[in-house]
Amino acid sequence: MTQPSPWIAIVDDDPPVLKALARLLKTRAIEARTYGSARDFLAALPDATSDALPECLILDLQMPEMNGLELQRHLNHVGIRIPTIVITAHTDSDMHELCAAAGAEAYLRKPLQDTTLLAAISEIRAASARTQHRPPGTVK
Amino acid sequence: MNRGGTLASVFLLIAVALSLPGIHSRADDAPRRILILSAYNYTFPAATQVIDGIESRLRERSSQKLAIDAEFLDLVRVADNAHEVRTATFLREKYAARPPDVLVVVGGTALQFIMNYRDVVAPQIPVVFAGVSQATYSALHPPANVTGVLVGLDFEKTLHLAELLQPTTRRLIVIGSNVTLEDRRWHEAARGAIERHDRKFETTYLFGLSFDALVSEVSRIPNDAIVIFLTFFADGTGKAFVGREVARELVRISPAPIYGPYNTYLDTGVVGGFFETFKSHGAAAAELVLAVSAGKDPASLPPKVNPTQAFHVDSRAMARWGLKQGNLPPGTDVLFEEPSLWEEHRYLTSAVALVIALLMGGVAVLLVQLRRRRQAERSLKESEDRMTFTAATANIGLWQFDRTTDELWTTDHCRTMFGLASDTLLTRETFLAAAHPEDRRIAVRTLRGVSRGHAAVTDIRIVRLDGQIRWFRIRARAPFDGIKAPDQLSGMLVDITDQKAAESEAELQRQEVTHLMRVSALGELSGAIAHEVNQPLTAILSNAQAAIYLLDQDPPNLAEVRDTLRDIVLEDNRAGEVVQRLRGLLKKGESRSERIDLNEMVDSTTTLLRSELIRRRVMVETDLAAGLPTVLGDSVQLQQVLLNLVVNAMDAMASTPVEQRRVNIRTSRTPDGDIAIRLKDQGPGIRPVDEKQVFTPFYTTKHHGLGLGLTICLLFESTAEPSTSEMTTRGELLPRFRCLLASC
Repeated sequence: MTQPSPWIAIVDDDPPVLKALARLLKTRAIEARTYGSARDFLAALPDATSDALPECLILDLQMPEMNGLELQRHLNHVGIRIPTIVITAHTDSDMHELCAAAGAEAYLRKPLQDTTLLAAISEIRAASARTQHRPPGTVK
Repeated sequence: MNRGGTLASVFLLIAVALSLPGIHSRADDAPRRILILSAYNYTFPAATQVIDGIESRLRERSSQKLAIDAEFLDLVRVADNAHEVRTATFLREKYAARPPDVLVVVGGTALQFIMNYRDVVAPQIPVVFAGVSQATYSALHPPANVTGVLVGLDFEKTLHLAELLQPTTRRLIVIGSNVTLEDRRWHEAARGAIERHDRKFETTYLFGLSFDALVSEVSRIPNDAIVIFLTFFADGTGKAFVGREVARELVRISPAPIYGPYNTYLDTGVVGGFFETFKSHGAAAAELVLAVSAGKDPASLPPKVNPTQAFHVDSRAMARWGLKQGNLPPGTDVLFEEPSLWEEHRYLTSAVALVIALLMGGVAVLLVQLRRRRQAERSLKESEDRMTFTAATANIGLWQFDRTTDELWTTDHCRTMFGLASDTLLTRETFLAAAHPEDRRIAVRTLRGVSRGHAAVTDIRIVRLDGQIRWFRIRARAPFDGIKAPDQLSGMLVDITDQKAAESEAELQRQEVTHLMRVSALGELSGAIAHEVNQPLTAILSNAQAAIYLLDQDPPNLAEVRDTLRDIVLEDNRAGEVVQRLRGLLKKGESRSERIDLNEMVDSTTTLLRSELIRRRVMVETDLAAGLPTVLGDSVQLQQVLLNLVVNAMDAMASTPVEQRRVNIRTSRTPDGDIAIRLKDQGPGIRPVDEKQVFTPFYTTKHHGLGLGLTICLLFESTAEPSTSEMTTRGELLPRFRCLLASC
């Protein structure tokens, strides 16, 4: 079995934002796959194997139908653990708390500074490297 | 007579009205023949008057055709047998062919003559006499078929009259001739009466004197005396006289009043006496003639005294002697009264009086009318004053415009309001010139409309001479018959400058409030709006940073950089639009009218609310009709209406299950050609109780609401001219708000 290359998923209902974020990550040689809604993302998720899952999920909080927090909770509920960076144009602090409680690694406000985003991704990668011996997808 | 001529026309009508009864003339083959025989000649007045009386009464009363003849036998003057025989023969010869049916004899001598020659003249013919004294009649002993009217020799009554008029007089003079039977009867009557009389007079009898002696005697009579003149056929020398002429002469020379027992004396200056008029005496005789000729037996009609005897006086003579009419016995016939204007010109007087009465009546009517008109004018003036005062007090000017003369009448207050001097001439032109240039067209249009019969209310500005601009509300009306433009327009004028100021103040406040509402609404939505701005900013920033990195590469991927920059431009525009919308909503300002594409507005509104809708988990479904025409309105206000409605919908669905939270916005065209926007949410609906109040300010069903949202919607609707907009609620479980706007 060949090791699949790592990738990052971006879920946002705003296409220009999706496109710009994907472009930014690509310049840093980070492969990003974009999804316009939580449903799209869930539909595209492969079987729950560690290789198939993205190393990181950049998730917009305000989305129609299923928002970022609901997607987080849904993934938790179905036992899928993906390190998540919540991005939001809102300033509601209560949402920050809720997202953190749902397991979000980072909570970033739009517009995003590339350095902040990249730093958050690097941190997740580092954390993932430290816990590589453990089988991915299991929730502690 | 000239006067008579003029009167004739005046009294023509009266004459016609009083048309005389028709004169009956019965055609009778054999006329009744009446032969009158007078003892006197035709110049003897008494006899002539008696004959007159007989003839006129006969003609008046007889139903038969009459042939009246009269013969003046002159038996008194020519008193001899030969004359009597000649006369009798003459009469027999003369009337042999036409024998009379009735003989009438006048005077005692004539009766005596016919008694002697009856068989010669007209045997067996009935005889009626007149002018015969009782004494003569008795002396002649006529047969039974002779009847007539006796002369009443009432000396006593004449004396009584004189005594009443001259109560203190003691002297009495009695004058008479001494020739005929008549004379002698009078003498006896006079003496007897005077002797029987209560009052004793110093009496002098002047009988049988020569005329000269009589005149001499009478001229020496004291003025305090009573003179009674009886008869005078001839004087003591045998000279014949007519009593009336003697009386006239005696009156002329007598110092004392003279009385006489005959009516022929009356116009000679004699005061009067107790007697019958000769005419009435004749009339009484005529009655007997009629009865006899009708076949009545004269024997059944005994002689009688004419019952029409009465006191008769000459007022002129009374005046001459200073006798008082107040002393006259009741029923006295006062003759020759100084003819009054009335008596002399009866018809002229009544005509003049009538004319004067009519004129006075006319004048009176005119005066009354004048008075009424003055009253009416006064009350009209008062009424006008009151109206003008009331109008001025209420700051109302009244005006009236006459199209035919182009004159504009106004109350003084009207001019004051216009800032015009009270003597300035007002016409249509000066009025229009005073109108504010921007309002002149409206003023002209109003006047034109009014002259077609439309009542109008127009608000226009008037620029006063002092430069002040005042608002006036002009109410105008004109009676219009539907055919012809009316000539008179009238109406009132109210200065509404203060009202307009208050209105604009209210408008300003309303703008302020709606602005604050928008600001507060946007404040509530600030998070959502920030999100809307942050999205493009996020894209821009990331793109820009990517571009910088790309340019740092060697070799840089310029195509990618170009793509990135293009995206940045797009996103920047997007952010700009959001800011633009916000600025519009945050801006304060007057409402203006512009063309609006409603579909675009719905899109724009949902975009602005996108993140809020997401946050509240509300789905927006839009169902926008294609090809809608634009509407005229204020886009900011309309957007605020939509914003409020959508926010309301979101609020309404707070307790609705998330999966059911949907707002349906639909635009469509109504059958009437209006454009409708319908909003439908899945909230609990409006309770019927609330339905009526949803547009009431500060009414809210929300826990934290202000209750101004729908009120503001309504405000916009009512000001969104010229649309016939309406906003209705339906008392259904699911509230729907429908907003109708006229397309343009």
